[in-house]
Amino acid sequence: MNKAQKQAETKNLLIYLGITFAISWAMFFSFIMPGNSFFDENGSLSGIGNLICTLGMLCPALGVIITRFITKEGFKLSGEGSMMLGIDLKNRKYIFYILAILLPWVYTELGYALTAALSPGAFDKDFFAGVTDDARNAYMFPLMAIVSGVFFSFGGLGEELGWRGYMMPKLINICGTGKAVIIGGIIWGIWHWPLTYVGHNFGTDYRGYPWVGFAGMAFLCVFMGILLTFVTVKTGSVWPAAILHAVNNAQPSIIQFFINPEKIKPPFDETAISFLIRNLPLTIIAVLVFLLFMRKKKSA
Amino acid sequence: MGGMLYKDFLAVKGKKVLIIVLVCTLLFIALRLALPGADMVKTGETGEETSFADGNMIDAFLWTVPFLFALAGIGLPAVWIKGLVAQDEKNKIRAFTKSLPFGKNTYIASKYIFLAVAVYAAMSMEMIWCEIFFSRSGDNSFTDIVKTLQSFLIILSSASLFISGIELPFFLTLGSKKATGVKSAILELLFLFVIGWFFFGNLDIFEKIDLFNMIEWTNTHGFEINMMIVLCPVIASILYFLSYKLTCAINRNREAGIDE
Repeated sequence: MNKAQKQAETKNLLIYLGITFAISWAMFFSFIMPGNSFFDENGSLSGIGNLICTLGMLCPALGVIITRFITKEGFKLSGEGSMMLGIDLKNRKYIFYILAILLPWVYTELGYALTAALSPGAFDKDFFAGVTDDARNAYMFPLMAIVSGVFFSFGGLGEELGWRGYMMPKLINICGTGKAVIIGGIIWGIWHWPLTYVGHNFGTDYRGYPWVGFAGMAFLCVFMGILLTFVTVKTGSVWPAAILHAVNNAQPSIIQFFINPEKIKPPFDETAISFLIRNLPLTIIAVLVFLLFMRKKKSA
Repeated sequence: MGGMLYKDFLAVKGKKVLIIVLVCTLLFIALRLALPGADMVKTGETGEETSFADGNMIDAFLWTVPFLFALAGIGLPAVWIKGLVAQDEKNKIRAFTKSLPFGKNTYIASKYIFLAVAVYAAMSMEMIWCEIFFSRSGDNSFTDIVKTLQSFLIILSSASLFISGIELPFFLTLGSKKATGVKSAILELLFLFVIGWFFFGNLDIFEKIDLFNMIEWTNTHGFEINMMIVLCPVIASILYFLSYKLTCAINRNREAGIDE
């Protein structure tokens, strides 16, 4: 790619980022500024908080549509420079779809297993009773999370159309895969910051609020971004990334129903530390995928 | 394939539908944010009795929006099938695609993909409308009804996919006129059966049907609902794929008079 092409890609990328951040943050701040609470009296996500998250996830897709309209890049469904909405299962690409469905279950379960291993006292075989009245629901939950993740992947699709379908190909063209996944992950993490500020993912009652949350979100997005970029590049489609994202958000895990967060012993009860432990398997898998990805790129 | 899907999108007046849905969604958001719901008012000496609409008339009005949208979203793909096939027949699109360098099943695949996308989009919009309703709804029976609707959304959408999977082989094999005839005949037979049952059947079962009992059932049978949520879309997707394969097999050797 020559210098002029790189400049054009950079310009288009900046237009996309400007539009997406403007739309999303305007909505997030219109929610935050009047002092709305992200949680209800029971401590779970409030109705309005849930709506803001749902609509917020669609903003990157809206950003892509507006950007493509402005830059006249067109709305091709599949192929080079497209919106990457095509689905091609040939040449063993279906493996990446299966991976997108199952991988979040594996690393989420491992993350909770690690939490239980480090705080054995927190593992309580009757804890599920406070969450669900039937133990079978706890065992059924990962399958349910996967099915609803796949069929209600519109939120994930909304984000992935923007981040993996538009931003990442441009970043990869501009600065190469290695730098792109780190820069892209950080940008994606920063996009979440207004929600992190009001307690999304981490709550507000933790040491180092909100800076630790901001750093944690950027950290998570870099590693999550590696997996999402990997499946997108391998399939040439944003669908597996949308599915992976949606299933990941549904937190498919059985062990979580048997961990009493109040019994997690210090220092593992600290938000930042428990977050790191829970996401350690994801981080390791992402690093391995990244190394594999880079090695294949080099040999190619 | 992209072009075929876009053609179908235009054939069902997709742009108009999209604009209407977006405007309605924005209006619904504005209404919901402007008109918050209220919690159920407990009445009676024991505080156990509740009125169906006490203190939450706004929710009583707004809950119908996601409910009606869900019904429309589920029925729409089945309604579109006839229009899509009829329009293609009128413009001899099927014969035209045979002259293009497409795979032999591309035309059939495009119809199946288009309707699957329509079901996915309708299901996603229904979910968004439920979320809009919940954003400022009170703790009352209407919120419970929409929550029940939301739990059943994936099952209802599976039903929509299933119905499309049944109708498509008829329409793509017999053509729109004959398939409409077959569909009408089946629906009329069903209608006659229902009318006959109203006259001669046991209608006592209607006494047991109670919306609140159904909501109560969904609250106490979480596992059964979860099981349905997992199985229904998987089974519907498998049947939809088998329906596609069947339609391809039936239409394999169709050449002459394909658009008649």
